[in-house]
Amino acid sequence: MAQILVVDDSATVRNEVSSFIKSHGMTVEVAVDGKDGLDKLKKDPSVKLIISDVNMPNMDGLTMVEKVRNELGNATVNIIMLTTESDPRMKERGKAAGVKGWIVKPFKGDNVVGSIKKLIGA
Amino acid sequence: MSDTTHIVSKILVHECNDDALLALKDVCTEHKLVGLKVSTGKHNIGLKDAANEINDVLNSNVDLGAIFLSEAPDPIGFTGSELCLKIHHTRPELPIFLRRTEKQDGSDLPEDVQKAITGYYTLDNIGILDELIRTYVCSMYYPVELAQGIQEISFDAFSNIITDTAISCDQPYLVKDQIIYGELFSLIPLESEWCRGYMMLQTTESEILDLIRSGKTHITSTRPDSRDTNAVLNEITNMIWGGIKSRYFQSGESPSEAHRTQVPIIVNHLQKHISFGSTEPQLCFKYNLSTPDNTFSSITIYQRLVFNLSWSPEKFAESDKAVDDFVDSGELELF
Repeated sequence: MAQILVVDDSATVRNEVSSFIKSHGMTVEVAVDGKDGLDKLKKDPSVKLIISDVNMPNMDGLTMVEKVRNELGNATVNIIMLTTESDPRMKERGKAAGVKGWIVKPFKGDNVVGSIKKLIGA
Repeated sequence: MSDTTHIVSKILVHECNDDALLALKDVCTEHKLVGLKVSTGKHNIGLKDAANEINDVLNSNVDLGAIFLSEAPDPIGFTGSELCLKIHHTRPELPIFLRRTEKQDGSDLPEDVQKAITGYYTLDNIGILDELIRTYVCSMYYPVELAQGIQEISFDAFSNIITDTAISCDQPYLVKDQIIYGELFSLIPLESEWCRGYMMLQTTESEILDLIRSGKTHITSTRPDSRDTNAVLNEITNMIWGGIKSRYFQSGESPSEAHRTQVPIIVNHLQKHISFGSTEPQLCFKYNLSTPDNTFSSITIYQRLVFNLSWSPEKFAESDKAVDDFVDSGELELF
């Protein structure tokens, strides 16, 4: 039972984000792409927050968000995109799909943890 | 950070005539070329050894723009027209210019030598090099602001992924070389209204493994392997790509499908050679990453921008207005 699901194809980002979150006493699950993220969420619907990259192989982050909302029907999980993308069109697509926030890499761990606390009150 | 007030190109010079060397020095200054001199210090070696010695120099300089040879025999007794065949065989993408002693062209030379030589000059008409260099070495214009921006973005990415690291970069330069440096390289498309091509990062696996073992990355493997080195290079590439996209490709327009032509990219693993189809010079940066406490051996990363599909630098000035609307990285933007 993880509170937060980190979805990123980069092992360095998964490790970095996870270790920051764990150091603040929260539980984390990781997924390597959008498809894996969707599978992990199906198995553990209690996840409160997804932190996802956008550009990933197999299934990109925004497609995953759309599937979380439309196919899984999960309207409650909070979703933050953590990505190198800052294209306004992508942000619009994310917003329309129900993304709550957007962080452009490079990031500081404290900012990510602060964002998590804002969204889920952990 | 290096001096990015202008972009240079490196050339290899095998020339033993002092007057010719002085004249070439002026040409280098005029065209912002960095001349590297081949020193064949050994005597009594055969042509094969002489060519091998030049090849050794070539192999340790994978970022050249051209080669200058001389028809006059060097101290070992070998002429540029003899050496050029071997060089052209291994590095066909590099233009070779031959200084002749009397004739102005190569019509009297064997056909295979003529095919290997890009242009000829004599000390009496060295001015002809201006046009040859403009045509074959510096034929592509890259805005200095772009080179500066790429370097800043790359420095940020390296510092973000590798902690406590000193980063330096040679002056940005143009290369014609198609040799692959190291064993590990990444390739990512760069697509906008004003450019289409790729960014390539090249490095050596052993250096990245050493870096991971030093604990300066977020990879925690106790016995790192190629998956870990791939992960590090992947994230560096991704972050630089994202920075370039945010800073320069924000005009909102990307090339239409009708303009998305493609050409095959050919990789020859045996020769360590990669061809993007274009022979235009690529914009290259050579970074050196090290740590003051020597927790890892220094890392060399070559970064090349290869705009082989489309290049309209005159539109670059318009697109960099997007810099004004820059999004602060690392901050949460709530919707």
